[in-house]
This record gives sequence, C-alpha cells and structure tokens, in this order.
Amino acid sequence: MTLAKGFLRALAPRDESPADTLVRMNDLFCDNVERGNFLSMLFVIFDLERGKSAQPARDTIP
Amino acid sequence: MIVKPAGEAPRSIQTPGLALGSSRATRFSEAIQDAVLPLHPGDLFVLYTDGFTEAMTKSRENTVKTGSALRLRRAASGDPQEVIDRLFADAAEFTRKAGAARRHDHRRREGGLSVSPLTAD
Repeated sequence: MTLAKGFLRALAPRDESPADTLVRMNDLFCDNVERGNFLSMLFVIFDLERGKSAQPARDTIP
Repeated sequence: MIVKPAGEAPRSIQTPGLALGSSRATRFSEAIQDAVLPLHPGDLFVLYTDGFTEAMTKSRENTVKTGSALRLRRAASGDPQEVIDRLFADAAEFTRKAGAARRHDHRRREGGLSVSPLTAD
C-alpha cells in the first residue's frame, strides 16, 4: 500500500486522465510488486473550476 | 453512487475495471474507462467498497443493485455522519454483526466495509 501511494503521488500531478493515471500505476505495480498481489482503487478528480463534476476511473476486484 | 436530494433515483456509477496488479498493460488499459459525472448542489456522492454490497446480499432479500439503491435512498437525508450511521446499521442488520466499534469521522471501516459520503455545495 505504501508503494502504491508513492506511485500515485508521482503520477497524479501529470494532469492525465484518471484512467491513464491508473494504467501507468498498473505498469509500475506489475513491475515492482510480487505477482499475486493486487489492490482496488477509485481515482476521482473533482473539477471545482469548470463546474462541479467528478471524473472517476475505477479499478475493481472482478 | 450519486444520490439526488429531490428524491430522484440514485445513480450507480458503473465503470468497468480490473484490480491493479491483476493484469498487464494491454488487457488493463482496455478494461478501464473514465466517466464524467456532473454534480449539483445537494447531490450526495457516496463511495463504498464491495464489502459493503456483499454484506447486503447475504440477506438474500434483494439483488446487489436493488438492495444498495433502496438503502442509499433511504439513508440519503441528513449530514454525512448520519448517512454513514444508517448504512452501517443496515449492513449490521443484514449480516447480524451489530455492535461493531464506531469511529466519529466521515469515513468508517469495519471488516472490509468502508463508506465515504461527500455532499456537493
């Protein structure tokens, strides 16, 4: 979990879409975490300047 | 899930996805999608884990979607702490695990259950 938080802190400021950010996180996760481990995550951007909207992308346990 | 203040049906956010680490790049990028959700004053944006809906289905009285929507609609009035308390009370009722420890913040976790309600101003 700590590693995943570090990945997110590094990737989130890039101003990419939530889905693109999670794709890059998945790449880092697969490269650095032992196979068989996984996590679920919801990444939401609240846009308070252009109107009140939420832009979520979701990783989920199937 | 987004719950409207005027009694409209709650809107469930159904974006596909895969767990991080479960699949390499191509399959993962094909499975995950963005969604844009306009929010309005008074809208309640409720984030909850799958442990919550699974707990509800143990009752076998409703499907996951129907059970969640009914309970969220009923719980959607009041401040976020009240919403949390009602949802956890429902989960406890259906799983018969009443008496779980309480935390007085706007996010609670109990045995795989987590819910975070946010209200749009």
